[in-house]
Amino acid sequence: MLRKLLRFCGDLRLSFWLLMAIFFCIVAGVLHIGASPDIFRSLKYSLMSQWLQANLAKNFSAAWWIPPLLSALFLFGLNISACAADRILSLLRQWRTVPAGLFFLKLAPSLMHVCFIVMLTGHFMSLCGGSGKVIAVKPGEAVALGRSQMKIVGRICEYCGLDGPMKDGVEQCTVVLEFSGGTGVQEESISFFEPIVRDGASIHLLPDSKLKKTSLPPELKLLVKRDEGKAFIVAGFIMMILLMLWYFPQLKKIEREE
Amino acid sequence: MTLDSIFLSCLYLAALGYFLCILIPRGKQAVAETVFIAAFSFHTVSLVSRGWMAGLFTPGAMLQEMFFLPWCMAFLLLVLRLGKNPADMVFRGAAPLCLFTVFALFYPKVPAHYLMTRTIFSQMFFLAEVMAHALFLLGGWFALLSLAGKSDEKTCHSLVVWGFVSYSAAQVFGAYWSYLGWGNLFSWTGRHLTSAAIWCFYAAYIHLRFLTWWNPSRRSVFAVAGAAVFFLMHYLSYFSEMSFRSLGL
Repeated sequence: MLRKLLRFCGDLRLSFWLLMAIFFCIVAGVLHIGASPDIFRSLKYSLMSQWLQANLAKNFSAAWWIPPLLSALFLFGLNISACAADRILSLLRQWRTVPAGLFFLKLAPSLMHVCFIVMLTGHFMSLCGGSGKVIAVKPGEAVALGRSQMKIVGRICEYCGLDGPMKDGVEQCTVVLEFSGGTGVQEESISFFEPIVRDGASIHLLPDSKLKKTSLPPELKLLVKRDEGKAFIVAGFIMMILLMLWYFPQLKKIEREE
Repeated sequence: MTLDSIFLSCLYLAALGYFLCILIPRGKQAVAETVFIAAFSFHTVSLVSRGWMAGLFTPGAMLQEMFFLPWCMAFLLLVLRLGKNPADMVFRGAAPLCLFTVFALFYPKVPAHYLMTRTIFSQMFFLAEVMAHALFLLGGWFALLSLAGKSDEKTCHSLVVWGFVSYSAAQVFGAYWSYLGWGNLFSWTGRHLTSAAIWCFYAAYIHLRFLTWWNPSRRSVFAVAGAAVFFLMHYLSYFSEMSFRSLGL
């Protein structure tokens, strides 16, 4: 009975049509985001559930594609879980009779599916439990950060001195931050694309290529971000690619031999 | 001769060489190969000089899609030829290559500011993503040829499968680049969603081999549709920046 249910839920034709449904929902999303970017800007740093509560009814004509997309993703998650479980159960019966290399080759697609489920779980955690707060960089400003406090001490920007299209464009900016809390006072620097992690939150200096050398100091922004899902997404994706890099050449080798 | 003029003249010479490859009659494969290798060498010099155009070496300028995509296509055609594929079949791929090199000629040549691409993850992202785009486009082209009976479906399938692997790697590098800069692995923006849509489309393609209804010709139609999806959803956005004024520097 369980196997029958797994086979029904994990049917490959269902996977294909769910993938196509996800594709069409995303295409609709791309068109709507392109047409009304202001509606979706706030989605960047807010929880999906809160955003939907505030915006779905108000902007239904632009945001209608999100609930079907999330539903299709959820069903796809169930579909590939069932597909992977069914396949792994079948393969486990063969593991003593089949050579180890061939067994792992047969198992690899299911492991890729498991990695994909890990990634989907990570995205789900980010959508439901992540948070982000943007702060303008003003020396002297203090922000509470979990059990410690973060104070902006100062900042410095370097500009491109070369003649040409990049002349006077910002090359790198550094903001000095002071953290005070249980372990005393500590100073740390943060730059574009060089975030730091403190009290479970990652702190990023948001890059802006339009910044130019002027008499006024540039307007810089910091992002304090908590995202429980990111480790799952990165780990799942890396494992999946490693498996792909091993699996497809092996498959090709077998095809050639045949 | 300045770097700007080396970049531009080599790009024009490469376009001319690829165009000649289409015109050379089938019986003169050795000539076609020589012209193709010369054109590819000019193209490589053009890209390297572009990397130095800002006065210091900026890989981001070299990997900019409009200029790097045709180079990747030419590189893949050479790899296919080295893989003992028939020369006349491989050089049929010069037609889309020629087209995309011509598109590059109409695109503004000034490199973008390098602040956004200063991390190695952005460079790895562009390298993997543009290579995947080249694989998808050539996969679509060879699928079209296989429908016309001028290529086999296996070539198309291999190109698309490797395109999918490269595209998946690009998603990891891109996600990490996005995290380092903007704190998000994924954003609800047109750019990120377009990548997700293309990835889902090709993930569906990968599974077609296990569905009996999808015979080789139907799969080829799907691969052609994939190339069209990439062109319409991603590449078409560059057309708004193209102009006749950009034919020079």
